[in-house]
Amino acid sequence: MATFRIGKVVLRSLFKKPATLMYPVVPREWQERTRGHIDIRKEDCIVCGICAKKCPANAITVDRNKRTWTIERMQCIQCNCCVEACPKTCLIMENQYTEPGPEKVVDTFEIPKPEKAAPNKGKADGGAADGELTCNLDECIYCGLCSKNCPCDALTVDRKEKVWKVDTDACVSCGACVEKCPKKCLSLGGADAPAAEADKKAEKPKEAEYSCPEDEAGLRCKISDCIYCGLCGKACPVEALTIDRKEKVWKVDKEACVTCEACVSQCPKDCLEVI
Amino acid sequence: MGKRTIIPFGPQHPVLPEPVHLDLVLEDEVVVEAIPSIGFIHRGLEKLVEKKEYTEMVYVIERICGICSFGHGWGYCASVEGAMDVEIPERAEYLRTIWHELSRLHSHMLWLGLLADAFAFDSLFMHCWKLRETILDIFEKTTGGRVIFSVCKVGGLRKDIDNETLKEIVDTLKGLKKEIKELTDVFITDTSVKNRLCGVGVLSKQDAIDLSATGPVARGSGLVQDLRLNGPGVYHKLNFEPVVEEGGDCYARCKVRIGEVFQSIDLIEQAVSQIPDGPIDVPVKGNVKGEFAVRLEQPRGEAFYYAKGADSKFLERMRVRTPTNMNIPALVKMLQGCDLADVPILILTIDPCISCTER
Repeated sequence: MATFRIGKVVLRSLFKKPATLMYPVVPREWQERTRGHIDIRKEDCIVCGICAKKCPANAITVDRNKRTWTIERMQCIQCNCCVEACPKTCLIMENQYTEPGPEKVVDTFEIPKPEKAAPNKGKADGGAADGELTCNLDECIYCGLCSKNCPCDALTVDRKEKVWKVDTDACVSCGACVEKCPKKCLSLGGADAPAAEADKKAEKPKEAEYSCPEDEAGLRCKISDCIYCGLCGKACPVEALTIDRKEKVWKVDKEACVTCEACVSQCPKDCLEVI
Repeated sequence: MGKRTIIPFGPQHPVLPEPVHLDLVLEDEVVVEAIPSIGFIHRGLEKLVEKKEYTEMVYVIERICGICSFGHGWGYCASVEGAMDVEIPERAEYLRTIWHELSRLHSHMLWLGLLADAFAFDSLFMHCWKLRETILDIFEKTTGGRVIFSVCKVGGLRKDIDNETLKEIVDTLKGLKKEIKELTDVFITDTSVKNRLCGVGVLSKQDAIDLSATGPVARGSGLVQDLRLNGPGVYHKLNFEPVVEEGGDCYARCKVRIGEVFQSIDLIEQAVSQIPDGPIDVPVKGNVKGEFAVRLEQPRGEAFYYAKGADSKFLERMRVRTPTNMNIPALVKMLQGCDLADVPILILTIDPCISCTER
């Protein structure tokens, strides 16, 4: 007969400290990898919304207009997807759990506006980078072609009042207006004239031409329509796009591209698509 | 012959970790028939493949079950990888095997505790769970989660374990082995435990074959059936024999699981000694086009995963068949002729996971 076989174990544990922790008086020791809750470094956030797109549980909402970042704590499954997807690494997986409570907590963070305008990532063009758009008003005929061709509505032209105005915050120095000006009275700060000339020379008959074949997954550009304005590059949260207006180069780094489509909505010529 | 009475058992019952309902037809104290019914915890997870991208779906599949969560993630990823013709790096295969064996270890320790609880041996129950806690700590250290790991992804793994930590794990398990041995000796030799387990709920080898029993239930009835021998992972590079017992009763099923606890520790030691260095994932691009099926040995038995792509971000169909699904007919057979007092133990010895079964 073998009875009370567990006696040794029981007696040993009788004289030992309890195996449990006195919760909540004794705090738990978190591991380095413990997935507790998501936190955000607000000042680094660019409100790109990639985290919300990558969240499998739809726990994150990003409002670009109100500049808010919202997380539903109960919905979050701590899968770490947003942290891995964030291009600015402003999301952090903290290793403590959130406080237990009877309510479903929704945390909203207001994202402060960056102090300076974000640097123009899309611009590989050295001349345009430090240049402001100027108009030689003596020669200007106020035709309005520049304003019509501006991809970001930065120009106001009034023929009657003889007004030509540029909104420097909105202008991305793409040079589309310089190219269209019949009087050549527009110029971008720095050496830009040769670029305009090169553009002219390179004019080709319009034939739909794409950056990559149709069967290749990812982002592609209808090169034949592209004006190399660089707006897509500016909108790209992962800096996957290279645009060189001088050399007429539009390039996407497919490794870096997360197909967030942020560029697609920004393109004034609708020449971008995600396959 | 006494009067027949029907006793409803479950879905809420102290012994049941998850909701299953049984109508027990009794004659005096003896069960003559058991009619099972499930459907209390259906969540429609398979349907979600239509809404979640195949890369996101792994987080849903992992939540089919809390105990064999890693195995589900692995089975799903393996089936999608098969459909896409992706070969994952060897280190990832090793790490998957190690995590899966750790899962088996913690699942069996949990089960041993629950079994002790079912025959009201509470100190044994608590000591089993105390040891299981060590394994959960290993999970938290290596994956960041204690229950849901979220480390598997299509194309490999999301987290690596460095070789130093792997050695630490082996050392921890070596220490744990002694303590587990003390407790499993109680299960194997203690008279009060044996009185409750020996000769109870015998499932003959023929019945196990006829009713397609799987996992420790089948192996407890003398059936040599272990998908680790030919399933995914690196088991073919490790040296092991399936644990098989001939008795077919609760005691045999308990012994099989105890044997597998030590076998898992041994397999982890072997895997750690062999693991190569290298990458843990390969980039996966494009859509799923083909279809693929994977069979995996979960702690509870054979699980089946089927994935079919629709040449889009979403799969057309995902199918999971879990071991408990296959063991319920065996359970019904075992229940016939047993005492009412043995019903909780019998239900536990198939290690039911109703969440898995219903998904």
